Amino acid sequence: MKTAKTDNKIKEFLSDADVAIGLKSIKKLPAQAASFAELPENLNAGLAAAMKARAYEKLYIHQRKAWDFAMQRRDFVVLTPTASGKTLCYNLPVLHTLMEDPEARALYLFPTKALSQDQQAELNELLESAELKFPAVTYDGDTPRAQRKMARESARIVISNPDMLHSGILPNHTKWIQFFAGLKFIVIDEMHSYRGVFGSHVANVFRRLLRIARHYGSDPVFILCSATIGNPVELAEALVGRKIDAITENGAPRPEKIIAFYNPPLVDPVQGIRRSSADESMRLSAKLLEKGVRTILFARSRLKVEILASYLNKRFSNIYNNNNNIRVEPYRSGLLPNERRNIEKGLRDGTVSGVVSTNALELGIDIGGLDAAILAAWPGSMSSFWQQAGRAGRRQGQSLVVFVASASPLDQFYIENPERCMEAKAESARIDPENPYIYTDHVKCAAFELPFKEGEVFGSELESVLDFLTEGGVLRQSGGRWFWASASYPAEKISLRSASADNIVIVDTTKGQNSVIGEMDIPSAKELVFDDAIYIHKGRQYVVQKLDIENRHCFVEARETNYYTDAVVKNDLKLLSEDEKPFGGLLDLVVGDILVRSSAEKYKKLRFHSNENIGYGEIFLPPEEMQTRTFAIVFNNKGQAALFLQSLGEMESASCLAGFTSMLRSMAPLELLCDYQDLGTAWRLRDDHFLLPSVYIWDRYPGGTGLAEAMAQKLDAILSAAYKRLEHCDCQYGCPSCIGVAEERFSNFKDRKASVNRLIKLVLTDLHASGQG
Amino acid sequence: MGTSLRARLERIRSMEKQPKAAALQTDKQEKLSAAGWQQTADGLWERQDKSHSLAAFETSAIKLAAFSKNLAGREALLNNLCFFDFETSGLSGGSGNIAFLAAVGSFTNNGDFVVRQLFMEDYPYEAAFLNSLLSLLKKPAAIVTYNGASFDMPLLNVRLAMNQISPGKLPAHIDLLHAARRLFRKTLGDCSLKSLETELLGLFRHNDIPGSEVPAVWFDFLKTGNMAKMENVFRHNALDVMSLGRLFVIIYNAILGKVICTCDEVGLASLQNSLDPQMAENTLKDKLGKDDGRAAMALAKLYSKNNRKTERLALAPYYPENFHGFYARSIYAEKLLLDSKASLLYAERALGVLKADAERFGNTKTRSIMLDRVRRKIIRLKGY
Repeated sequence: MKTAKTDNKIKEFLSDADVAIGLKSIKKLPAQAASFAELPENLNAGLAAAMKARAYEKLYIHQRKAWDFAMQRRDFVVLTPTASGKTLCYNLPVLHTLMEDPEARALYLFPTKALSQDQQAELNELLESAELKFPAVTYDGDTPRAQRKMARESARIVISNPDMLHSGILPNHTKWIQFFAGLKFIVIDEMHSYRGVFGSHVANVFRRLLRIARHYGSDPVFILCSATIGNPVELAEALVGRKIDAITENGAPRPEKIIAFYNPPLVDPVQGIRRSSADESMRLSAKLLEKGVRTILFARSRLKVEILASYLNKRFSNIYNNNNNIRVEPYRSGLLPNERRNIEKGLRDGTVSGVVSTNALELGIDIGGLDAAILAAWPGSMSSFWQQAGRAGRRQGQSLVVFVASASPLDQFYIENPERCMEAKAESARIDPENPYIYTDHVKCAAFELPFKEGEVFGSELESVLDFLTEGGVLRQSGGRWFWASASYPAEKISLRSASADNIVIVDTTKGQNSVIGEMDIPSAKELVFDDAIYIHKGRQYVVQKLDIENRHCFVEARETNYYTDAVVKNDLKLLSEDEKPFGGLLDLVVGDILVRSSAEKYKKLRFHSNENIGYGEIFLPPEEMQTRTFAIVFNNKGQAALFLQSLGEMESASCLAGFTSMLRSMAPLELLCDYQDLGTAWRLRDDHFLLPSVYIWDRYPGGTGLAEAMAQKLDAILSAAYKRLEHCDCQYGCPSCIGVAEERFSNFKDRKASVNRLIKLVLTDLHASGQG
Repeated sequence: MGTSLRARLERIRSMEKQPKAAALQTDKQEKLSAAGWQQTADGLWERQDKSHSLAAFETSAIKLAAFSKNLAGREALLNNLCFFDFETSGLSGGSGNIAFLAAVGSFTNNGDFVVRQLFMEDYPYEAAFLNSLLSLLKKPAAIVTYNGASFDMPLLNVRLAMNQISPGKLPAHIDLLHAARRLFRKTLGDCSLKSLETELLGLFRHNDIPGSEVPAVWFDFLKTGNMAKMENVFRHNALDVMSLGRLFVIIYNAILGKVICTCDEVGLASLQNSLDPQMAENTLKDKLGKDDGRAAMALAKLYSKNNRKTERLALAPYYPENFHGFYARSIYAEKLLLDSKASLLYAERALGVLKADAERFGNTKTRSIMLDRVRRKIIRLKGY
């Protein structure tokens, strides 16, 4: 009955005239019936009884296949949407093995501590009902000292995260001998979150893990679980360095899901300006929440999350003065753990009706199912899109997902091509375990754990890195082995995530109190909590009194303001090497090392709601420097594109390059599976290095994660998509949804769209004429 | 980050491998020999140092329970103990931290103190080093260390595991730091071996190398064969066990009351208690009324263990002036002095202190139980 009600509410919502004006297309994911398989015959009797007691008479087909693979001791990855019973895919074979073999051990790895705790609770429930006395112990940074010894010595299942494995377990493997010697299974859940930099680190941690396991004579099987991504097998194989089988068919039943593509109406058709996607998403969320539809609203930044949640709460407190039943909470990283736990609990038990979240809630944290998910702007990747969409949907009844496009070219591309979104093929996740910085770091850790022997296999460049480290005095080569020869503990200084352990702590000093209200990594802090910045935490505004980077403190004080702040970041570039010239013809395409120095020297004050710029302030902070990989297009005077640029006046040529660069950056994530934020770009009319017009697009992680190399390969596809976007854009002269906002100095050139369009076309012509693409 | 890492990797890859410097090894071996070391196996060196610097030599059997409750009833002769200390390549834990130098000291029958040092010339000789060390450590009745419970002994276990050597059965381990802390934490604060040396032995080391600099010296020796600083490390290591041996004797005699030194009597009594409860009781009684009440509290604990309730009650006037002190005085006044007026006065003072504590440090479960109890007592007393 209740589900029928929700179905009606969704129908009502979609036919609401205020909503219908922006709806561009509505797609449906049809309901799917369950397909079952029998429980395995040789399943341990105690476990079989426990399964039956919990009313698991049968398995879904994917669970059965997982069992079969595990019993054949094949490594495999299971691709499953949320709520499809994936935990049984590993719990069943693991528990069976542990019961049959008293020496056997298993390691469960989750990307976050919160997920480990969820999993332990679930596992213990199953263990209790099977009357199993296996200790399953969470071993992470929060585990009390006394419990750690117990975990090391007697736990049969250790639940941890890659960070703890990296810095706590592997460097102390001699305390875990029994565990490693008996290790039969390594379970890696939420595999899709191990991509990019984090994934590149984790792949190296797994190399170290397998090396230690080999040392103690065990050869564990990997069971991986992933949400939908384009290349699960490829990612799994890159992560663990072994051949992996995939289980893709899903036997779990699925209720119908409606996916609506919403484009905010145009405000100014000439300039192509639309209503803001954030405001529109808030409006749509409010409509749903008022109907009693439990809704999650995903926003792209922590700042947006805070702003939207506080707008929503204000809105309800105005209309429903005596109806406080609608409670909306902001959820993002940087909240304290117990604040997060409270919100999760509120979502599960229904006391929180709505939540505004960053991608922090994408992961499998248990918040139950919500009725609707609203995505304010493209979440950055296809797998994020489906993860966020997956937050809407319970066991029964319809659920609704609304994608609210922003003005960005990529969002507009998906509005026009919703099938690109609905196609089964999601984008691929990329990692680069051979990133020289990351790889070198883990060679150090591995050498600390066990000396390297001559001829040992570990990644692709072991010998040169060992020599490099020996030359630097960190390793000592002697008697055919490389020994750790430094007084330090290398894992301590290496963080697997860009948000390093070395965070800035945000301290609220209002009225003399000194309470910690959050934390933030240093590069973000420089752009978000500089002196006099407005920091928003749980809807409250704080003024930053002092950012003390040296002591890792940021002191803030609560104050009501009518504006928020936004840093203006500037980049200086220096090309260090031209390693690869994948193409030299009518255009030079270069891949190489680059030094990027970014500094925020001023900030804008923007009025709430209208976003109108009401002033500037200065920032006095040292710049962030990094070396990374870049891709560059150099217009070398031979091709038609270069000739076209020359034919324009200097200013117009610059305006054209700016538009071209902006399109390149917006459309690149479509092919590179990366986030918009992962790339940095710049254009130069006369580059200091090449002395020619040039466009740079670089990887924003030190050392690069393979994006620059991929860019070189995918340039043709990216530019073709950009061309298509331009052709379809319904603006006249170029707008934020295609070539981006024009800088003021280019305001003389009215029709920028035509020149950018022509440049893209000519670059494609040049590429094709030289046999590329 | 100076130059690009990728470029540097390239450069190293193209670089010809340097021929190994066999000359360096020969040089090291000559220097070690000149410094009195003898090579006992490939890459493994040994040196012995004898001194006669001990005033008091203990000839009767030593009761090991004085140092650890786990050793109750165990005895050993002084010359059947060994004193042990490692020097390591790093200060953290983890399997990449190694010990390259060990000193094992022992007393001879005539009171001499002999230090045997083992040194490995380079990493590959670790297994030989450990095997040799194990044979030294297995002989005596017990191994004495300073802070060995959290450093040297776990490190030994890690190194044995890394070399896949089974430790077999090792003698009992005594960490002298535990007893030293009991005795001197209140009086010296810092209980490092160094400050005990200065305070108890009157020893002052000249040109001693700080422990934190040891790893760098060893790495430098590996690379260059620099022996000058290495000799400092050898001496530092030998001095550590020599001091350990002498401190052991002094501390043991202090526990028995044979040597009088400035120490915390409450801590002293707690050590004596595992040898002879009467001795502990006497130490504490001597201190009654001469301190801030800690001796009375410790004595009370001792009495309640033996169910000596009346004696315990009589200690109340010696208690510190905190909540427990006032509360005990209130009971003392009521039950022993039969003075309910005084009892009420103390109960009220106890309540005042408790309330202030709860305000300052937060209200815990124990505090609220006690609050409740005192309030009820006050009501009852007022009823008289």
